[in-house]
Amino acid sequence: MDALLIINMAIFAILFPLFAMEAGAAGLYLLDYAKYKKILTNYIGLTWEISGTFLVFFLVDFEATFPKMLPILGTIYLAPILLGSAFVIFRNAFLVYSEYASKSSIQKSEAKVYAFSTITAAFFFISIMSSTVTGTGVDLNTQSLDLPIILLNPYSIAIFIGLAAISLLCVLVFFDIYTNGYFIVAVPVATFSFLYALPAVPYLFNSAITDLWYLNIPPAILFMSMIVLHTKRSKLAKLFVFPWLAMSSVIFQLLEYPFLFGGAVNIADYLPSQASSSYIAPLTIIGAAILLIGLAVLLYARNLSNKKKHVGYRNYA
Amino acid sequence: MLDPTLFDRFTMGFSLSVHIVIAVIGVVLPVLIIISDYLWLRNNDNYYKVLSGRLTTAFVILFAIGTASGMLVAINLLFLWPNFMALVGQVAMSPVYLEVFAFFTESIFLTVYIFYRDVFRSRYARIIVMIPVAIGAAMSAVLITVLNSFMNTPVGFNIPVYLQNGTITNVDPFAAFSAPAVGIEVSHVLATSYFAGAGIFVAFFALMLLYDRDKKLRIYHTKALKVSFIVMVIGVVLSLITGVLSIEGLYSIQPEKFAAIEMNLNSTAHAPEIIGGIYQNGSISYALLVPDLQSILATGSPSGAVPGLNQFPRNTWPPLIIHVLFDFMVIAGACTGLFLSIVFLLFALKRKVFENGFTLKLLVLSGIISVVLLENGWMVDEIGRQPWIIYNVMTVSQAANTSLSIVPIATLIVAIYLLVIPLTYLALTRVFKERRLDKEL
Repeated sequence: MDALLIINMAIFAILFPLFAMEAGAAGLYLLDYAKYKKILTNYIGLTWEISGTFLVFFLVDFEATFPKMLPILGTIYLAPILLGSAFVIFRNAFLVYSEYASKSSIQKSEAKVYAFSTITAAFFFISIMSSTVTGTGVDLNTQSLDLPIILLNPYSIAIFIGLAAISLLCVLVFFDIYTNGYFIVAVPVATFSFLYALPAVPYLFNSAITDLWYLNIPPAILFMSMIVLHTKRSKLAKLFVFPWLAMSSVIFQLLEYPFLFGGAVNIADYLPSQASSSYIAPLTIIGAAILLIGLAVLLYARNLSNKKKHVGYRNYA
Repeated sequence: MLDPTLFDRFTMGFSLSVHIVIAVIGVVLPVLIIISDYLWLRNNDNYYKVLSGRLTTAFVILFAIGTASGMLVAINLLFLWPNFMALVGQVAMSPVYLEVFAFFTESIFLTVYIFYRDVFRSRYARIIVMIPVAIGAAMSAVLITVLNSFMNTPVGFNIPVYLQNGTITNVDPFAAFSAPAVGIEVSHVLATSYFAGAGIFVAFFALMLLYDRDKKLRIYHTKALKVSFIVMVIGVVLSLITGVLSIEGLYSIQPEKFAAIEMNLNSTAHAPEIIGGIYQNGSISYALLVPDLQSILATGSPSGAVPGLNQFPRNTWPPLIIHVLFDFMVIAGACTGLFLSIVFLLFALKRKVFENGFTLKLLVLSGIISVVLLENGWMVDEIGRQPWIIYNVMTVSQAANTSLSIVPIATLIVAIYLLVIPLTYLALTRVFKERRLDKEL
């Protein structure tokens, strides 16, 4: 596989868990803001900027990886992407309004607008991605799309419901929120949603990659994390959440590779020339180094903060 | 029949005009925060601590809006100008790609600053944490300007072959960094960003001082005004220097734009500086001419020859309105620079300039003018390249998305901005005006 595609998949594999977790947390905000605010505020406060930056990173990397595809996608997906982006603007705006400059009387409403915007943006982006995979609602010959079909076709909705169930599940696991009933509902809902969506992508299992052993990895990790949760060793279960989501996204992308639009487009045909893309690998290495240094400083500072809190607690005690 | 290209232009122009203001505030705020933190720690002066705290909150709010607005601009580029991005994606994407990492630096270190600035052993560590944010913000401006320089002076691929058959060959993806316009554009954009970004805060704090009656509030706003004023003065001086260099640079590397902004109809030696004037029926009326000045400024010699529009096909001339915009920029910029220099001189001589109502009113005006100049300068750059999106390679019409679906979308984007701008203003008002200074001190 081309290095450009690997980089693109890797970026998406980081973006997906970040955004899925945030959307799940936003879901809890909508369900019961007062109950979950304390648990989730620190997490969202720490990660929303990084999620947003990864979203931009994915977008820019996509432009760099598929420049030849841009005129086609630009014509087809103009409306849904701009609508989705509008909700990203509301997400950013209302999060900071509620966290940094709110009157207490409207803080809850602003947080709910943030949560609604995040989930709606996720809905738009899932619908678009689902459409690029299945080709539903898109006419490549006339380069046009049917917006209601893209947004409301049963496959997209099934994928959205499945991902929503999984995101909420992951958030519950990550933040030690035990609601056993939800697990019983979420797993079959997610499973049936994806099974329902499968007929829309019959080409997936006929793709260039025939060795499908890795398909077993996500259910195995999910199964293990449920066992761990059941034994109440929740800290261990937390460790599974991000890698599981990341791995699931990679596996889905590998299944899809190299086709888009229901198998009608081979993405390898749209990659730029080697000379055009020769900057991506070295700049990604430089960028990854910057990113790692930044994250190391963030973790170091977080550690210092935790130590201080502990010392403070001991002194107080 | 609606022209979709017109909507593309309008949507892009509107988004950028808003984004530019948010972006320059984002460039200057980390610098203001660093200075405030330093003054607080050095003098143990809590007024600066409050200032730093409020500026940080404002920064977080504007960073969030700026991120979203930046994403919208990136999406606008992709969807409104797909053919442009298809070419850029294959030839000059490296600065845009690198900009993401500048953005990462900014967002991660800003997160560290917001949540953990007080956990480090050394109190000065908070300044060290904010420095990468300032560098990241400045680098974002630098790198996106590199792309703009590429648009003005394209390099990095075989242009004749591309013009002949649309094939992109001999690509050097790093060549954009050495595009001829990079030096002059980057330096001028950085300088004007600090000038206009600080100008907004100068206007705000000066305005507050005009109305403050409370003693503590007056002390606080005076200190805040001093910090932003110093940055604004440095910015305006650098803007004037880089501005003059930009004109000299345009003369040699973008002669058509130079001829248009100077409204030179014919190439000539001993060229006068043309101030004002209207182009009609092939000649210029109502202009004030200063003999030889243009030749002197552009070439260093009164007998130096300057390019004229007659050297270029009529259908590639930029709209000559940029001559008026350029004149306004130079005159208003020079007057603002002169006024700020006088105030700075009095300030350096320990005069109480910030207690004078008239000076404060003029400072408010200077801040407003700095933003007008910023937008004006951007318009001179962009209109001066018309009808090209990439000079002599691709026209705006060739790059545009001509799907009619852009019309409702353009309306929606404008509506979103019109909703978010006042809401953000209200949020910032809560930070700067409604917080109780007594409590924070």
